Amino acid sequence: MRILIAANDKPFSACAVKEAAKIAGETWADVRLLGIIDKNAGPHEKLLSALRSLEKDFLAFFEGRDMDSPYTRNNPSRKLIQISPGIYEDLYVLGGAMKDLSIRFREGGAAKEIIAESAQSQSDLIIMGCPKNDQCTWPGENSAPQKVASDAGCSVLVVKEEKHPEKIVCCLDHDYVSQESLEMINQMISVHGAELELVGITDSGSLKEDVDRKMNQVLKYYQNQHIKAWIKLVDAQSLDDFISQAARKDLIALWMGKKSLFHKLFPKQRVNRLINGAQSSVLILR
Amino acid sequence: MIRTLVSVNKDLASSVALRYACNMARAFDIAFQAIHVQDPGPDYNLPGTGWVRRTWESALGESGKTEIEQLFSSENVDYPLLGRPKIQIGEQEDQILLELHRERYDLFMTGALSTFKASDFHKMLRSKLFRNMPSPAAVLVKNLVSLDSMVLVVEYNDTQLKSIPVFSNLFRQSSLGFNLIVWQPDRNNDPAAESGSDADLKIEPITELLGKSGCTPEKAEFIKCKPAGLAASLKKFGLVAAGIDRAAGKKDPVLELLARTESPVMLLWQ
Repeated sequence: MRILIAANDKPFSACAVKEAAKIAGETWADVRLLGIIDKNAGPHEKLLSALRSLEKDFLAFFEGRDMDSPYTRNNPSRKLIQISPGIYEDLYVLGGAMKDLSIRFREGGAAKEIIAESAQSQSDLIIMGCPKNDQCTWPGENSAPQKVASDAGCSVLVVKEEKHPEKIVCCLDHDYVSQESLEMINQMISVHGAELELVGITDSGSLKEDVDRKMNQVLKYYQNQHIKAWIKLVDAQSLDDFISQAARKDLIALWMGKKSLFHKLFPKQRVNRLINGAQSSVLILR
Repeated sequence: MIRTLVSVNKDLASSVALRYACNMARAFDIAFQAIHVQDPGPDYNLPGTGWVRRTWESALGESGKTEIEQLFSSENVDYPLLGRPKIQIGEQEDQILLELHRERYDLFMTGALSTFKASDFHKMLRSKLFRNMPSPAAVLVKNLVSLDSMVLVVEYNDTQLKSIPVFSNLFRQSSLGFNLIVWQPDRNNDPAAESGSDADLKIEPITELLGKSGCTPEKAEFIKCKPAGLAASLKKFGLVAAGIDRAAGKKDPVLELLARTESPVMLLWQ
């Protein structure tokens, strides 16, 4: 698994890193911290030191735990490396960490560069923080969290500051659910010690046959994992009310498929509203 | 033995109900009769008699039988059954009512998944089936939970307490203990139990009545709160039983409580 943490020097990035560390502690993912800089400006000292500090915070999560951190680097060693055909160099190599933890900067617009980096590094999950007020904004590009959640090709977790959800509320209205997304929910349940609620979106009071079948499969999957899953049916017309109510204290996870209602019904507006209005984190599953 | 009619279709709600039935079989002396009503569709009323109609109905019945056999097989149904699943053709509620009247069932059970809107629950209880069913109690399986504990909720203003004998008859055939909650609907959202002699006085008449019919609760509490507050606290129980009037209106607090409860509920008709 690869996690991309889009971070900056604001306090909410520390929350995103904490959340990422909890998930990485469960999954041993390769992790990259990404900073966004203005075009042709180069990484400035303040952002560089902020991201280095966040990297320390990330590593600190693993200190004092029973397990060894997969991100701990061994002492530098010397290794003869071919740097280009026919040319070798005896280099100091920082090796030994089982999993990658790196910092990278990209020049350009935040949303565009975060999405580009996630595609390039084949990330499975983008984690980014945003303030807990009603305007989930990012410095430099206000709507970056919303754009990333709407347009990224992988799952996106938007972390609000210091919120611990009681439930992971997973909404499903189509029949495609990837194994990766099921496992990601497992991690979120484990990380938060939260309950799981599977929400089926109904049309005129009943579930579509394919959704009904898929929900049964998902329920059985979690049963086999010994995870108690509550089921709730929500009519498409009441979905906004339900989400706004649940988003006050629960983590909302939306399974976005090609056939998803969330795509069909004002997709960006709904996701934007959810991210802006939710008091706790929002997970977009792909 | 509690004779139970369970309505099944090939859907998630029925899968959940069949799996919960397995939990009930561990906790109660119970046996199930499954019924599946095959919807004949709009062609049902077309004129037709004799061989053509019989052949059509037989094919429809066979298709329903296959569906239910697949469902039973996938859900590993392995608990006492009163007989092979009954496959009927016709309007669902009519056929189930017919079966409930024909045989003497102590309990009717169906999968009724938890919904966001309480009005869905009201609508179901206003249906022909629920208004007219002759069995004294019904279990609506809203979620698949383990059945380690159950609770009887009695509304404080319920002076007739007709639900107590119905509950006692069923509970005496169970190996489970149960909690009693005497509930007074109130504006308060926090379902904290009240203590003291005043609360004891409110609980005593009900525990006495239960004791006379051979059922003693493991714990009895008096709680004053909103239906939503109590419903949230009932999630820890594997079965929530409460007396309900068939003519209960939308604003009936017990109806609202049961609508918002996410665990399986047992309706005790009174």
